[in-house]
Amino acid sequence: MKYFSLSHLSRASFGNLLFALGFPIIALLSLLVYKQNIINTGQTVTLPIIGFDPRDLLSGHYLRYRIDYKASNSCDYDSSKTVELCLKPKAYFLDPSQVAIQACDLHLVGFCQKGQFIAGIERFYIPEQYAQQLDKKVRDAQGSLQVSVTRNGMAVIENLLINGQPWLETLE
Amino acid sequence: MKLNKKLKKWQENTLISFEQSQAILMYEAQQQAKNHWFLYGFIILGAVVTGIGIISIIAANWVNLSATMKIGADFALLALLAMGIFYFQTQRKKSIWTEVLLLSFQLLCLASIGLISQIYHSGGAWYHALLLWSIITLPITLYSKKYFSHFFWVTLFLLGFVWSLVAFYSQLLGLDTKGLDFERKLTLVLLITPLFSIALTYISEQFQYQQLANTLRVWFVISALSSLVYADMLYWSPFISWQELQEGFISEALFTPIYMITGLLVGLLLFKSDYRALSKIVLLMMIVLLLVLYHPQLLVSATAEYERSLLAPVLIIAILTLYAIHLGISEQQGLFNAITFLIGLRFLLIYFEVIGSLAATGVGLIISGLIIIGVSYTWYRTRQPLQDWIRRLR
Repeated sequence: MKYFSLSHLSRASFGNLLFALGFPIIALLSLLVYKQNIINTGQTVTLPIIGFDPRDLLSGHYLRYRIDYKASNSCDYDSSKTVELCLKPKAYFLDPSQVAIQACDLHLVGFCQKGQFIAGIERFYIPEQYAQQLDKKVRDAQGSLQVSVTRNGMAVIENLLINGQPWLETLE
Repeated sequence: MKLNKKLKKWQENTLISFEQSQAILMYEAQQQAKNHWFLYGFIILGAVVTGIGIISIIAANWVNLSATMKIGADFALLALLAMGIFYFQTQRKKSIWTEVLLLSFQLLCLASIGLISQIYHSGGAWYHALLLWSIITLPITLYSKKYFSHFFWVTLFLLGFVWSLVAFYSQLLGLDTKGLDFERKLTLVLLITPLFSIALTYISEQFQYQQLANTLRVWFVISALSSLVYADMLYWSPFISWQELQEGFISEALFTPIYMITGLLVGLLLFKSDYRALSKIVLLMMIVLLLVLYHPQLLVSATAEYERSLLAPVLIIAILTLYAIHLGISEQQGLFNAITFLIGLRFLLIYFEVIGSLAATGVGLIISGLIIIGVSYTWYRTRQPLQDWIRRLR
């Protein structure tokens, strides 16, 4: 062990170094596990998407869209309030003051912004070479989103569907 | 002048002996051999180019690689870098490779956040990603002995924290829906950044993280000067009414996070043991004037239009003068010269603002030229006596 010796390090500095190196890796792993857990434990729902602004549909490598939740009421609550959108048995925004007494089997947690419901699933990453094809198909209202939703309303995108098929299988 | 030329001159003027001159040259040669910045720079460049190459290959085959493969490769690389840092960090003699690996580790942590958000199509904001990155990489950044790693961390941290705070607060107040425009968000960012960065400088100094404190101080100077320039532009903007400025370009409610940070800063300043009382008073006045600049209702209530053209230059020159006094007291020669030069420059701008288009006439150009020479000469002649006078004030 001529080249690798820890004898000159104190126990505290050894621990500090291990913490400094391990902390970011553990934090990133936790983030990964959290996201994957939503997919593993959540219920899959399919939501139709539409392009909402021709100039902003494709932003960089992200496909941006508006999710058509088909809610019976509008998202006009204050943006500072957490809003729950019931997905099953029917789509409607739960009144934030009466969430506990409203019956809902599956809901999404988010907030309202300029009349839109934001749940952190409003972007889909795509490789640049497929951008134009997908952009056109989403504009033609052929797109839908496969989303995994947990019991506490957290959501992660599973896939983008074009005419009900995974987007990768529909490319020309 | 090169060192050996200087030494020769000092020897000729019998300031130092031949032996002393030789000893200085030998010492400097040893110092240069220790200084690896040139090698460090090229190794970092090489690491960045290699990284870009790897990213390009991954991007070109993005669809063909499974999410497990991408994540697996990413974490394997992170673990390898961590082991490399651990190995070099535990050596008795610190190697340049520690710094290179450390910077690569910082970069890869940021790339990993991007990768996870891409794989799971997260809709989070860029500033939240930066804030998360800065929190998880702070401990390892503190291990770095080089300026660049600290500068990189502080830059991304300030961006992440300040924009997250502004976004959080505007959402909390429901201002996003009512349209908190980009100009107002930028105003908040430019006001919060200098106050927050100098507060963190004092905290870092308290805990003896000098490298971190030095970097934060650089950002304080950059953001404070940007804040003054931006305020100057706001006062001159034809699109913002005097009424709007007077009532505070940013509303009273939005000032709450600014007041909170100011409160923290004032507390830290008052308990700062290495600052003289005069320095503390001067800095407190500077903070108050900076707040007044962005919220003039705190100072003036009249509605006269001429106040608009007066207020900005008066406050900016006063803030710069107070800062120059602090720099003079704390003997920061280089920055003192730069700030006093800026004061001269702002005076010159007042002249151009006053005479307007007359400056373009023949006589106007002659007068302008003479004033520029006069201001430059006055600044050159008075900066040293001024600093000496301030030093005596202590």
